[in-house]
Amino acid sequence: MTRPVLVTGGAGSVGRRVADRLISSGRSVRVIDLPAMDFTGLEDRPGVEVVRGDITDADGVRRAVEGSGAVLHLGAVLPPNSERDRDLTLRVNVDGTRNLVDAMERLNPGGRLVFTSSISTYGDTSADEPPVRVARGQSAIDIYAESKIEGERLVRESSLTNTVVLRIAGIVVPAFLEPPDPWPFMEHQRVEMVHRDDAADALFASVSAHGAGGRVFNIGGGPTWQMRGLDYVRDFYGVMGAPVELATYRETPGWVDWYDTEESQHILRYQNRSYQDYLAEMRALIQAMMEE
Amino acid sequence: MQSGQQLLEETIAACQEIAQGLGSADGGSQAWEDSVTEIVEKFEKVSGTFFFKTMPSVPVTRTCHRDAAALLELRRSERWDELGPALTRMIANSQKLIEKAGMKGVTLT
Repeated sequence: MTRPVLVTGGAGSVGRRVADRLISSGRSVRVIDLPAMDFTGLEDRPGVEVVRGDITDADGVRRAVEGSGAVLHLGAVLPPNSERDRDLTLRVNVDGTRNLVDAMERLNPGGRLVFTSSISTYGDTSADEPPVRVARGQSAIDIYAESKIEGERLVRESSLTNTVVLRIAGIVVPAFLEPPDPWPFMEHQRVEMVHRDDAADALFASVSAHGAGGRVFNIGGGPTWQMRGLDYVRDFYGVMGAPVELATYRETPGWVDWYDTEESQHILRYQNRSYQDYLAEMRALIQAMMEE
Repeated sequence: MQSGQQLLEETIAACQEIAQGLGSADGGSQAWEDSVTEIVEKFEKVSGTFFFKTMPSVPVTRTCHRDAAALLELRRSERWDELGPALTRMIANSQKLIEKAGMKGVTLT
């Protein structure tokens, strides 16, 4: 029997999908998330152990890591919440990562740690020639990116021998969503996002993929997701049946661009949903809402 | 085609007229007036949401719009015995609409 995979932030939208894939593949999962989260569907599920806890609690993290075979570290304060409270963001995203790294160094130094970072760590790349490659320098333009750069440093400088860092693009969730105001990019800026389920596939594959250990990958949707900001926004409002004139954009470049994902796709095989697939999924969802 | 936003504004206006003095009208009831006033308050609270600017808002809002129009007609013609069941129906449909309008998503990065 293989040891469980610990998934931090496992009760969230992406975490649940990763847990599903792990269970379907025969792995057991230990999910740790905040007590206030909804664990419906995870509790009492065979192969899932639920831990109500906080990654800022070092002792709790050590207990959660004990006996696990690998760790998928998704737990974090995400934008826009990350920008409202710098102390909280750094405590969760940096100190929480430090707790995990420390626990793994002590209990499972050869185990795989998958750290979810972000393409936001590149900062403003709008003046660069696309695509953005992992070798490019990082430069935070917000608190979230600052916390993820620091998290990457902790992982990189640790004594762990089997780490994977995923710099994930903006995740698109196929659901009825309130659009951000403003959109986190300029109208004509290059934009590439990734479908939530493709991100989950990448995370799942990272747990055991050969050739992934010690690597840093960009995770994006791939060529069909590369467009200009206004193209995405026009489609979004079109699908929702709302006037696109409602959209507002950033006045300075945001941290979005087109990414070099050739290597990540080669090793992780996660780009399974095209942008057109996503639009079709959204249209079906809106249609179902209209028929309710 | 009317947007969900326009339909909601008309529904609010109809409900305000229905509630006007309903408690003191012959055959009316204070409980009815309170219920319609509460609906108006809830509608006003959610009226600015993105949901009402979208296509999915139209069918559910149209149902409430139709309910409110029917209720207003009953009020104007003082058909008090039919007002109670119509009000019950509108409250149920309004509740569904308010729940849908409260739906929010998150953008993860």
